Amino acid sequence: MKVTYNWLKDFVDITVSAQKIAGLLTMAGLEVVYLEERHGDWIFDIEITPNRPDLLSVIGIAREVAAITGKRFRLPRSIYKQRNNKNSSRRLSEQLKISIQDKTGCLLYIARVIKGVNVGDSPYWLRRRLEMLGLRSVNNVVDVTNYILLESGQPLHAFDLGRLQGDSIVVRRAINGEEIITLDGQRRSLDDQILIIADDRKPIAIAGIMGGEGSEVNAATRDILLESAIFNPITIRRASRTLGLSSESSSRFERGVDVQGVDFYSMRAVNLIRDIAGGRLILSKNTTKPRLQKKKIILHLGQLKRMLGADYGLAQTERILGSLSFSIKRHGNNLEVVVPSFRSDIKREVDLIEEVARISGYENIPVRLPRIVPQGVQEEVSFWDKKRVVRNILISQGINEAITYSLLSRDLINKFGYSESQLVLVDNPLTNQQEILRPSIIPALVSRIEYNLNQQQKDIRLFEIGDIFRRDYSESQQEKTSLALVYCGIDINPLYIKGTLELILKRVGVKEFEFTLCNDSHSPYLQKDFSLSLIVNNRILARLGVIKPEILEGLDIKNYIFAAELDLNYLFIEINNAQKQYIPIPIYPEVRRDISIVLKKNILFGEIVKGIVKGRIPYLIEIGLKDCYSGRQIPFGYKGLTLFCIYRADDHTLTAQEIETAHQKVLDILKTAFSAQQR
Amino acid sequence: MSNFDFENLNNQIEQDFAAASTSEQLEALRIKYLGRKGIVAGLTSRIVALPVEQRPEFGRRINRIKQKISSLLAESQQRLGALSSGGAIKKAIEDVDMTLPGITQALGHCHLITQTIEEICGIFVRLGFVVVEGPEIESEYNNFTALNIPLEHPSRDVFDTFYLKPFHIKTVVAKRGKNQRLQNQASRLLLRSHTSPVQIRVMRSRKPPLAVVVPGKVYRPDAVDASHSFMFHQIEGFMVDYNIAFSDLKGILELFAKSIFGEAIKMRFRPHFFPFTEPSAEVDISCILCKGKRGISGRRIGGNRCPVCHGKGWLEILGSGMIHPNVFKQVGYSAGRYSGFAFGMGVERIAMLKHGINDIRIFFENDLRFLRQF
Repeated sequence: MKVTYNWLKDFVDITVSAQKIAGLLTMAGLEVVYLEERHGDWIFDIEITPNRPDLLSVIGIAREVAAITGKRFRLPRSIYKQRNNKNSSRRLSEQLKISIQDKTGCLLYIARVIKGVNVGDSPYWLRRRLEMLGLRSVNNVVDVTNYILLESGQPLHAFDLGRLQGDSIVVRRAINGEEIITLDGQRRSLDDQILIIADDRKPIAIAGIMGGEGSEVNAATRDILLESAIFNPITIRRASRTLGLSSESSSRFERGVDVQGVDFYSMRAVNLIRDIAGGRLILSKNTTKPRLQKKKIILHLGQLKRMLGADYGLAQTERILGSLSFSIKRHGNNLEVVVPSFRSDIKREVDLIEEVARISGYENIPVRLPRIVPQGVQEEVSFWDKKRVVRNILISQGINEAITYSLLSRDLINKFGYSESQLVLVDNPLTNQQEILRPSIIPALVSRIEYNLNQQQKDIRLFEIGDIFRRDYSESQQEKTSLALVYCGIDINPLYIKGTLELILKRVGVKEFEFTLCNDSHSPYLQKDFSLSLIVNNRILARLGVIKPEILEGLDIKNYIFAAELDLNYLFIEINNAQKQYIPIPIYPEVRRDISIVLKKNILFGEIVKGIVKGRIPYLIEIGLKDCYSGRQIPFGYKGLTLFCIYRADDHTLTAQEIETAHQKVLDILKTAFSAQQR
Repeated sequence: MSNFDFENLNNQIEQDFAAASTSEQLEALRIKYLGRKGIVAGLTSRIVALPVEQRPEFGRRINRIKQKISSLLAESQQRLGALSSGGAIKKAIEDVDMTLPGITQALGHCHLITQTIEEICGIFVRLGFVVVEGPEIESEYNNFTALNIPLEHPSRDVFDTFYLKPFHIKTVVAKRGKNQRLQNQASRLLLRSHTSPVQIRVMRSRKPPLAVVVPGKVYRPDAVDASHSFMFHQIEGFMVDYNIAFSDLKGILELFAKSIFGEAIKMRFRPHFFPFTEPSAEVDISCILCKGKRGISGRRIGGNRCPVCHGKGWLEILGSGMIHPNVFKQVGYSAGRYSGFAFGMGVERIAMLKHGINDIRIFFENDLRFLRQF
C-alpha cells in the first residue's frame, strides 16, 4: 500500500519528518519498504499484513500515525458533511430494482444514480494524488471512485447508466459459459462460481473484481450508477484465482471491507463527483444493512503483564487503545473494550495485548531469560544426536556430505528402475523437475557425481542423510530416514563402500552382522551379482553394490559408481540395543603368522574364513586378509592370497610347539577343503 | 682387465671413511661407492667382459669390497651418531624441508547447512532446549488448521504448498454434501511448508514444560532463482510453561543472535502478523556488512546502497511471537493455563548472511569445491 505524506496530513497533524514517520510505522508493524521524495511530497510504500484490511487505505494508515505520534485522527469537514438531496421520488425509485440473487455472495449493495455529469479530465490535484500512488488518471468520475478507494479502502464502481439494459441491477452467479469483456479489454469466460453484476440482459461487471467494457464511463456518459457494496471475501478470492485477475478492488474485498463505510464513502464519492463533474443525485437505493454485533472484549491487566512480562498501567493501556478508536470502560483492574467495526482482526484479549505492545513499542518490553526446566530425553530427541554420530564417522573417512533436492523428475527416477506404483507424487509441481518425492537418495547423488565429474573433480565420495518416500512402506507412513553413500574414483572398488558400512557398525557397537549376496529388487539400480545385503538380526539394514552400467551410460557417466543405502531408523534401534562391554586387555602376547597360498580364482575369501572358523583351531583368535593378487607368477584361473593368523592364549604364553600345531591345522584345512597350494 | 688393483681400492676406501667426519660426507661416500653409478656398480658391470673362467674370482672380490664398505659405513655412522645424542632420530629428519606444505589425512566435510543447523541448535541445547524432528509429509490439519490458518484464508497464500496426489482410498465415511469438499481438503497430505507442524506434534504428545528446537526441510512451490528454492531448511523453536512472556522471547533470541552474529550486533523486534502467534514479531539484526550505517530505517538510499541490506540498515533473520490461544486449544491444552513463545528461521538465509553466499542454489549443487570450503 502506498500513501503520501501530504494525503496523510488530511487526517492527522504530522509535525515530524517523513523519515521519522517511516521509522515509527515500521516499528509499529507497518513496514515501510521504501520512502521516496517526489514533487515536494513523500511516497511511503508500506507492507500490509493480511490481517489488517483496514490499512489498505490512507485513512487506515492515518489512524495508525495518529496513535503512534499521539495526535488526534480527524475526518475533515469537507468529507464529513453529508449533502444528501432527498429528492428521489417514489416514481424514480421504482425505475431501478436491485435484486440480490446470491445473498451469501453479496452482503450489502448500495446504488446511487447521478444524472447530468460532465465527464472530462480530472483536476490537477486529483490526477497527481492518483499518479503519486501509481494509478493512471482515466476521467474525473472514474478517478473519484479510485480516489475514494485509496482513501477509504471502500471499492466503488461507476456504470454508465445509459448503457445498461432494462431497469434492474442483478447480483448473481454467472451462467457457465457466459462471457464479459472486462475494462482491460480481455474477453473472459465465466462459470457458476463467479459472482457477477448484471443488467436485464447480460453481465456488466465481475463483482468486486472488474467492470465490463460495455458499461464503462467515458466522455459520452451523462448519467451514472455508482455501486458501493460488500462481497463475500471467499467468493471474490476464488473468482480472482479462477480468472487469474486481481485488482485494487478485489484485493480489498478478499480481505474484508468495513460494513460501516459502505454508505458513508459512497456518499463521499457522490459529493466529490458533484463538486468536480457536476450532476444531481437523484436516487439512492440499498439492500438491508447486515446487523452488526458490537464486539466487546475484557482486557485483564494481569494477563497483559503475564503475556508481555512488563507492567502497563491502566491509564497507559487506556490511552493506547483509545488512540486506536477503541471505546473503553473501566471495571476495576480490567477494561471492557468495544472494537470498532473496521478492526476485523481484533477477536480476543490477546489481540488487544498485541495492540498495547505494538503502539507502546516492542523495544520497551524488558529483556529477561526464562527458567528452563530440564526435560527428559526421549527417543525422538536423541535422533538428531545419532545422526551426528554417523556423520562424524563418515567425514572422518574423507567422505563429503551432500544435500540434494527431495523432489525429482520422473525421467531420472525411471532411469533408476523404480515402478510407478511405489512412488509418492506431487499433485501441483511447478515444473516436471519436481514431480516425484525421492524413493531413494541414490539417483540425486549419482547426478551430483555426474556434475562433479564434469567439473573435473576426481575421487568423489559423497553421503547424504535424509528422508525417502514410498507409497508401500505402510498405510500410515510413507517416509523413512535413509543414509546413502556413493563412491566414484580411479582406485575405488565396491569393497571401499563395504568397509565404510562395517566401520559404522563397529563404531556404534553393533557386533553381529553379515553380508550376503543381494538378490531382491528393492534397490533396482544395483547390478545383480555385484550387490550385497547387510543383515543385522535377520533383517536387512543396508544394500550396497555397483550401479548398473546401463544407468550410467544413460547419464553419460564413464566411470563405475558404487552405492549403498542404509535404513537409519533400523540402525538407530540397533544402536539403542548395542552396549559396548569392556574386554580385558590380554596379558599374554599374541603371535602372528602369515600364509601365502595359491588357489582357484572362484573360491571366495568369505568361504575360506568360514571354513577355518568351523575348524575350531585352538588359540586362533583372528584370521584376516593381508594381500590378494594375481600376476605373472600366478597361473591363469588362480589367485594368490596372503592370510594372517593371530594366535593367543588367555592363560599362558604360547609355546612354539603349540603355535606350530595350530598353524598346521589351518594349512591342512586350506589344502584339503580349498585345494590351496602354499607358496 | 682381471688384474684390477683391488688392494689400492681397499686402501682408498679405508682412508676415505677414516676422513669422514659428518653424516653428509658419509652419505657422499655411500653414493661414491655403492650408488647406482658408483665404483662397485662400475666393477660389477665389467664382469661380462671377462673370460668365463675369471668371472667367479672377480665377483668374489667385488663382494668382499661391498661387505667392507657396508661395515665401514655402519661403523662410521655409529661413530658419528655417538657424537651427539639422538643422532639416529636427527638423521631421519635432517632432510626434511620444513617449509614444504603440511601433510594430512583427508577429512570429509559436513554440508554447510548441517553445520549451520548444528551451530544454531547447539546454542539452544546449551540453554536447555531439546532437538526434535518431524516428518516432511504432513497432514493439512497439522500444517495449517491446527496452527490457526483456516481454509480459504488469505494467510494461506503466504504458505503456498505442494500437495500430494492421493494414493489410498479413505475408509472413513465422509459426510455428504457441502461439507464433503472441506472434509476432503482437510485430510489431504502435503509437504510441510514450515517446521511449525512439529509444534503441534510435540504439544499433542507431551505436556509443558517444553523447550524444543526443530530443524528440518520445508517445501514451497517457488520458482528457483538466486534467492528462492522450492526446498529449504528451517529451524523452529518454542517454549511453553505456566508464565512464559514476550520478554522471555526477547531474552532468548537476543542471546541467540549475539551468539551467531557476534556481541556487537544490534537487534530489533518489529510487530508483524503470523496466524499462529499473537503478539507476533519479526526480528532484525543490524546489517552485518554496513553495520546499519548505510541506511535509515525504511529509506531507500540512492546510489551507494549496501549490497547486503540494500540500504535498509537491517536484516530480517526470523519470525516469532507468543503462541496463539487457538493453537493451544487445538492441541488440547486448557484455555489460559499455559503461555509460550515460538520462532522460526531459514537456515540457508542465516548461512548466506554469515558466509557471504549470494546464491541459494549453490547449497544444492553439491560442488566438491563448495563442500570442501566449510
